[in-house]
Amino acid sequence: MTNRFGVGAHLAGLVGLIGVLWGFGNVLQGDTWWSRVVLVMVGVQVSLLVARRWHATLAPLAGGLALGLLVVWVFVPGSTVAGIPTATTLQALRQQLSLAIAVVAEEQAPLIPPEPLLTGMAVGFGLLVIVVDALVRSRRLGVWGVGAVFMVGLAIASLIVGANPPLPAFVVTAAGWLALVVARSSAPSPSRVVLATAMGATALIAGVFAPSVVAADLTPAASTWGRAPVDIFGRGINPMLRLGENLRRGDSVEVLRSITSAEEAPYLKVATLVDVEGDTWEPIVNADGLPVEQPLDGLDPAIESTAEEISIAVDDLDSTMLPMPYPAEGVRGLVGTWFWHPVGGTVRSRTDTTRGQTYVADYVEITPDAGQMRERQALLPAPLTRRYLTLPPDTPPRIAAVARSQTAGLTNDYDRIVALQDWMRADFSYSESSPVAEGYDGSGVEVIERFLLEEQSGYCVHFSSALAVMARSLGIPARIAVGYAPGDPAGRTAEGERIYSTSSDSLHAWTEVYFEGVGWVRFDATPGVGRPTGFDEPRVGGPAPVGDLPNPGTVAGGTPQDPQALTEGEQAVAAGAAANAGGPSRSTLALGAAATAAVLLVLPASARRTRRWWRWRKGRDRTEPLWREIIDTATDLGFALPARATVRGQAEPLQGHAGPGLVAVMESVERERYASTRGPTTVLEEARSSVRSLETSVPAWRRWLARCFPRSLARRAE
Amino acid sequence: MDLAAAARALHDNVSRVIDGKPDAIDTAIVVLLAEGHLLIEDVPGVGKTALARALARSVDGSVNRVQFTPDLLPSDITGVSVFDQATARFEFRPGAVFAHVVIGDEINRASPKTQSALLEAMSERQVSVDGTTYQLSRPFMVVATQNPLEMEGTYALPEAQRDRFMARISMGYPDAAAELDMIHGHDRTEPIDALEPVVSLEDFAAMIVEARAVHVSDAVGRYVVDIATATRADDRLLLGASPRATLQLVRAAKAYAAVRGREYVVPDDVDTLAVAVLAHRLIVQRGEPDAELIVRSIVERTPVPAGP
Repeated sequence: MTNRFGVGAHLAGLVGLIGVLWGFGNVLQGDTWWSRVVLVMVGVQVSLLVARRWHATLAPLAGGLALGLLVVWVFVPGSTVAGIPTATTLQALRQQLSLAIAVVAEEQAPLIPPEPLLTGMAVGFGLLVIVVDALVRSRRLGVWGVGAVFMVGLAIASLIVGANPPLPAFVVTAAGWLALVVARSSAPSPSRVVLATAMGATALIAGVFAPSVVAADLTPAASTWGRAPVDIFGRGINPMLRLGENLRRGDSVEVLRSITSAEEAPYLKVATLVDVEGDTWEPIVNADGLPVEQPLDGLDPAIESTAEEISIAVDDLDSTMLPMPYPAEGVRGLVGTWFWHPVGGTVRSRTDTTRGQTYVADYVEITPDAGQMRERQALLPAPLTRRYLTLPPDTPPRIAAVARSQTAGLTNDYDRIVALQDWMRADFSYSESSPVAEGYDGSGVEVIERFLLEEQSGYCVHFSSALAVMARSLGIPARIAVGYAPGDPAGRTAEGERIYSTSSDSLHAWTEVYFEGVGWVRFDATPGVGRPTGFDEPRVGGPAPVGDLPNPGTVAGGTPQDPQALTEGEQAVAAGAAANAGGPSRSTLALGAAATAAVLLVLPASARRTRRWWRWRKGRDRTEPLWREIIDTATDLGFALPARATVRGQAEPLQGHAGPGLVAVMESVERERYASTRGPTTVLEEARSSVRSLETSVPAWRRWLARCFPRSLARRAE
Repeated sequence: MDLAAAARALHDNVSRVIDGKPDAIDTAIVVLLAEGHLLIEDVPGVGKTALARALARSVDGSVNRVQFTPDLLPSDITGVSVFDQATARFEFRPGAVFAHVVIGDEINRASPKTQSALLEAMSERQVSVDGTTYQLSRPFMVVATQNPLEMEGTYALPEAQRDRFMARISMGYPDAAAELDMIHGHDRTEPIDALEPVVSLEDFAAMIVEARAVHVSDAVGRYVVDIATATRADDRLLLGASPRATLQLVRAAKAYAAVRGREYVVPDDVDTLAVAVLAHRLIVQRGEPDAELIVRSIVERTPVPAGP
């Protein structure tokens, strides 16, 4: 069997797959990794093409063999003897692949590509090359099958990354598909190859240059317009769960250093969790139906506030979410493109990470006195209140009962929330080794019930979510913040400002409660970490009883926790950098689906347009392309043309629709095909007028249908 | 007068005698122009002879008519040398084939020997009698008729001889209106006698040359070969088209293209003529549909050449 569609179609399929691979670009950082995967893909494709010349049915086998060898040579070269795989190779490969699966299961993205993950991707994409290669040759499945593979590939990429794949990935994939359509179409073979190559090349160039152009349009961190973040928690299925795992893992490293003008180091917030669903709290990805927050708007002028500044130098943290004090007014010195998150006052990026960033954030320390707080209700505008009070329907009533008994006799929201915070700080103990096995490692309401009534021991996830759920059960709007607890003092600058060092152990979660006229106020119920909130009593009264207690570990009745213990897990987070909050929201997915649909809608139309344009060009000195254009137009418009027909046979049903020019074009094409001498003149004008007449001879809806779904693309011309 | 216009004039002229049979007339003109011979297979009395006569008259040619009977001799066809006592020399008395159009009625009723005398003259376009060769006239066309529902005393035309006819047509019964028209026309005058020639013999000879010069592209040539090959491979046929059939189909297509005013053949020409040129040469397996249907289905299956 010969190559039915030529090399062009297969290369187009390969280009499309490379586009899909590009879509995974946000999963892995760095750019050396993908050249190796592409190398494997190209190798497999070449072996398929070569093998097919020899024997068509053997091609997939040859492709599989090439894939195996290439993966071995590229990824585990040390295990071979003179390039020949050995038993060691198999072992190494198996180890790599199981590691890859483990990495995927840990759901950390993006991160520096670990070798096993690359091996896994190379194997996966190598197999895809074989599949697409087979599909390309299929007459019936061909174009649409390959299109489906591309689409699913991009969709998976966007699912894993939690954001739409980068534009170039779309462009390259679409171009590959387009080129495939062209390569399988009816154009004469030399021009087919040229056209396919040209389109592929154009797309590649567009893909390479598009990012810089697009990026130039975005104003860094100047916009509150929410873009989908690359979430710290990868797929974000269960960020709170991840937090727990991360806390239990690895060694502590210094994540960042900060210098602040304030008396105390601020909490640094990374992400906000608003909705509790099932077993966990869900991160807010985009606005998700919430209005854009302006943390300092509506701040009662009577309340004391101090403008502060913190400069932060990030060291070993690779995250797309920026540790920021709350509430922040602005941030300077960031490299790359960063955005305000519409909810929670955090900052994030799609394309850049925190690694090596040095930036200065202006924030406000809000210090009402306790009296002012007591006067205020914890109340949001009505629709928001509902959102921030929602609890799962299966919330055990005992949680609310506990909250009520702990706050019995208290008359305002502030006192109630402080009582709950202080109760947990005093009576509970910190433990990262709480019984994880029985599903305790979560923030869901059932876990909280156990935590509050039985275990009374856990880590920040339990404390922050328990406080938030209890608050909500009392009608107090609450949410969870994820970030870093205040760093440890690490000396002073020459000017006397304090330097703080934040380590990966300081990864933390706390609760925020909304007070009218004050905004979201932090309450931290985790014993031994950070500081509890307790504003000074009004000066009229006695000295402040509680004040800020910057003395972690001494408050609780439980064992003071060695900060080092904390660390174990959080460090893993730091390694991937703060993995945090959240998977692709529904709106992201919907957006992705809509974009894909739009691309799919536009693709055939533009492929058809391109083809027409191409034919008009070629039609200046040849009639054949003009005739094909007329026939394709008629096909698109739904004229019933005989399947096997001579020129006259095809022209017959069009008589009376295509205008007077048709006969001239028909005779010209006949002459061109069958006569010994060329016709004297070009019939370009006649052909154009025929196409116009055909188009105006049908109702407008059929014209549009023809434009969006040109059937002539699917029909392989004779 | 250019070829297409002359052909149109011929057609119009013959139509005055034969009502409602434009396709049969077209094919007859094409065969005459392609220097082929025409086999008309039909029931008696539908105008087979009238068509042949009208055509001959329109090109100002001579017509001979031979009624084939079992006792017809080969010399009746070719001619015979007779000893003339006055001059004491043998003198050649030309037979029936010495005319522009020879009508052989019920050709299948003559003995095979007589049939073959005619068929040899058809392909050689010359006659040898007693060692002397006599050229036949030009144009020369034999229009043979054959009754399909044959009765006693007939000798079926062997396939080798059917092959010498370029095309076979059947007239078919005229529709009612045409038949009524015929009644009135025949009542008033004998129409064939009223026909005037519209093309001179010399002009027609030039038209023949012109038709031969029509271009057949490789693609169309391949198309014809594809069709012929398909008939040979078809399960429903015992005998497919011969190479002579291929050649004659091309020739007929050239004449048809010329009649349509083109100097090149298009596949439509081939399609139009395929049934008339091929069907009578094929032998159909028992129980299969008749040859016309098979040829049509083969043509519909054969891909049309898209380019040069």
